[in-house]
Amino acid sequence: MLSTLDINKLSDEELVHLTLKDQDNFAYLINRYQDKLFNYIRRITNVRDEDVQDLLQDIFLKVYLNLNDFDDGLKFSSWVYAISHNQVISNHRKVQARVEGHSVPLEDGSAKKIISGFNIEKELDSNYLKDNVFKVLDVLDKKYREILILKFLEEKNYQEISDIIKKPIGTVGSMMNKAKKMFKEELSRQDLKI
Amino acid sequence: MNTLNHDKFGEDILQKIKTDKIAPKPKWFFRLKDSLVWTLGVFSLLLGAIATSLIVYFSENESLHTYRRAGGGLIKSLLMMIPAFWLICFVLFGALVYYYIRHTKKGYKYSKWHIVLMISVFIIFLTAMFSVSRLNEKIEEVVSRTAPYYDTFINPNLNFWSDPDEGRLSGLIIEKISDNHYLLVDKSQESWTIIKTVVISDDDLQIGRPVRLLGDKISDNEFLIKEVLSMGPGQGFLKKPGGSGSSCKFSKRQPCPPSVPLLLK
Repeated sequence: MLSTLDINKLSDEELVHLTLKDQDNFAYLINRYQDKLFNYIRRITNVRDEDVQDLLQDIFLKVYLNLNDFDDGLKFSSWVYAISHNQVISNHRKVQARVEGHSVPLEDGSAKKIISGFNIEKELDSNYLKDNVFKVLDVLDKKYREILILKFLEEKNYQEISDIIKKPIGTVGSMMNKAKKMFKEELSRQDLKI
Repeated sequence: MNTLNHDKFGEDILQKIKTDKIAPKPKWFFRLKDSLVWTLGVFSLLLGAIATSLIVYFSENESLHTYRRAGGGLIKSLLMMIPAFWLICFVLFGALVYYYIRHTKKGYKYSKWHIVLMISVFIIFLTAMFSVSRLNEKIEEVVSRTAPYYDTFINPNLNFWSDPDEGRLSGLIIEKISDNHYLLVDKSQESWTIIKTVVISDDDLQIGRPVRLLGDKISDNEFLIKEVLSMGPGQGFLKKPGGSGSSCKFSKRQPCPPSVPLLLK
């Protein structure tokens, strides 16, 4: 077994190669990604936490099954997120449930991450944003919501988002612009109501 | 908040992997899958290019002027000039190529227009090659000789050219009976004596040549030729043994031949 120090030094790609040699090493990859993926799935679906766990288990099993398909030209995190993205869509089709935002309350940091990308901090009270960003995200179309979540909460760049949602990078750019515009419009709309 | 039990979660997955004896799929499986997608993509591209080259072949051999002279109305003539079957094939195979490119490992990186442009360039290049080498003509001949319902779906224009009452007759010239009389077998294996007028050259009525004729029906099996037009698509259909009819109707003048091409030897 590897020591904690060794594991931290290893890249995801190296851990993939080690897992292919010894399946027990897969535990390190699970450990590295379980929280990130758990939060990601919660943010983009409306399923209960227990169901998120089941989904996550399916995702890791799929990752393990397809390890030999992992392409070194891609970031491992993008590949894992892409599998999660597909699994969520496939699960949504299976249960015929709408893929909706979960209204997960955002921590201070998350709210800041989102609003910092919009240059709207000055316009709005930060406490208001902290309480309402998730409500705004909730009403957005799922594809726009997901792209905002990937960019501002999962902190993925355009290339990574392109690899995750399997869309050309130019399309990601235009989707992002539209998502931001819709977010701002929704924010104004909700602001008017209050 | 995150309700995941970290240690147990990882252990459970590893336990399931061990209990169910789950192993990563082998590398060859993914290579085979990728190769299959590429092969189907290339195959669809070739079929798309063949369809386009046949559209070119049909277009080269049809003219609005000819159809108008043959008595077709403007709208009908325009519609007949569209090789609908091959257009549908082109759209279908073009869509399949697009689908397969999108499903290659890196297919998602390219925009819709980028892929359409790539497909167009390849199809134009292949179509030019097939047309210059006249491979499209050979393919059409094979299709017209072998495809079932050819005159119904693929080239329904053959029916337009098989209407002696309206002054249109098409078929294969199989015999010269006298200086001005030839024997022609139409697409239903019906035999016709076609009568040449002075304006028609012997060169236009060569034995074994499929032709389209404009003229007048002068009796049940006699047709006076006013104009001879070359036959483009559908030549194989007229040459094939048995034609489109289920039974040979060759018996009016002579016994049914075992195969029309045999007469051409």
